[in-house]
Amino acid sequence: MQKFGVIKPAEENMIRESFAHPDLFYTAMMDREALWTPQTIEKILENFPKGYIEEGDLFLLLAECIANSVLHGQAEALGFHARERHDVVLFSFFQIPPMKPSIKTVLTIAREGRLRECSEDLSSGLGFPILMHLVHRITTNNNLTKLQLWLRR
Amino acid sequence: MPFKFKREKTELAVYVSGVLTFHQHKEGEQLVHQITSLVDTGEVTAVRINFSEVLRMDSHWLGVLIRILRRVKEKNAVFIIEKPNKDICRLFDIVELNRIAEIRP
Repeated sequence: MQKFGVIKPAEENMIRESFAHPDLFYTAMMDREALWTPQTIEKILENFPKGYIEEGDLFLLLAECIANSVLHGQAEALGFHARERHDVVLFSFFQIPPMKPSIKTVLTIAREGRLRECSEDLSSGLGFPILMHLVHRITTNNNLTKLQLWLRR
Repeated sequence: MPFKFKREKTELAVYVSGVLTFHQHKEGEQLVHQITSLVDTGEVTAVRINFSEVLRMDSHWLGVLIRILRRVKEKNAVFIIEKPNKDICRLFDIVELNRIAEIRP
């Protein structure tokens, strides 16, 4: 596991619990300072196993989801793991504290594919609409601690 | 994430480099301010942004580009993006940036 920064033991335990899945092939956890450090993304890219996703796509996935967690979610700590099941690769972000309820609206708008309007008048962010083009599905869990991106290989 | 400006009469060339993410949001604001100030006064009638030294870019910087583009167009000035790499071209393709901006390989 790659660990970036200093994470409180209780938060680390919660993140480790979110990693409790078979078929994991990459895990990382980051504190708030690491989320604001550009090199964190570069270090994940260097260590992430090759062959699961294009590096450029992984960069966008990390940059957009980390931006969402720190800019809109006030994340204090973030776990990230990737696992493969059959022909699907799942990228999962576990956030402390949980995301705000507005994430559901943001994802609904992104699913409607309003990219053209976004790029013309910037009425909403471009991050999730772009990610919708890169992955098969983006979901959250019920308590909004997890943001999951499903990539069909 | 440095950027360099070159002026030739009323044309402004901007050279950006590195990895452009939300982490450099202050630099993005600074770039928007610097370019739009020159365009607003009429000193500059064409803006070329050179991407040859940019490795990667996220949606935050796409927003920065679109903000600059909109202001440049409002002033009837020319806006050109030059030499983006393969990954950045893909990002531009996803948002169909070529509909509203001239992109030169």
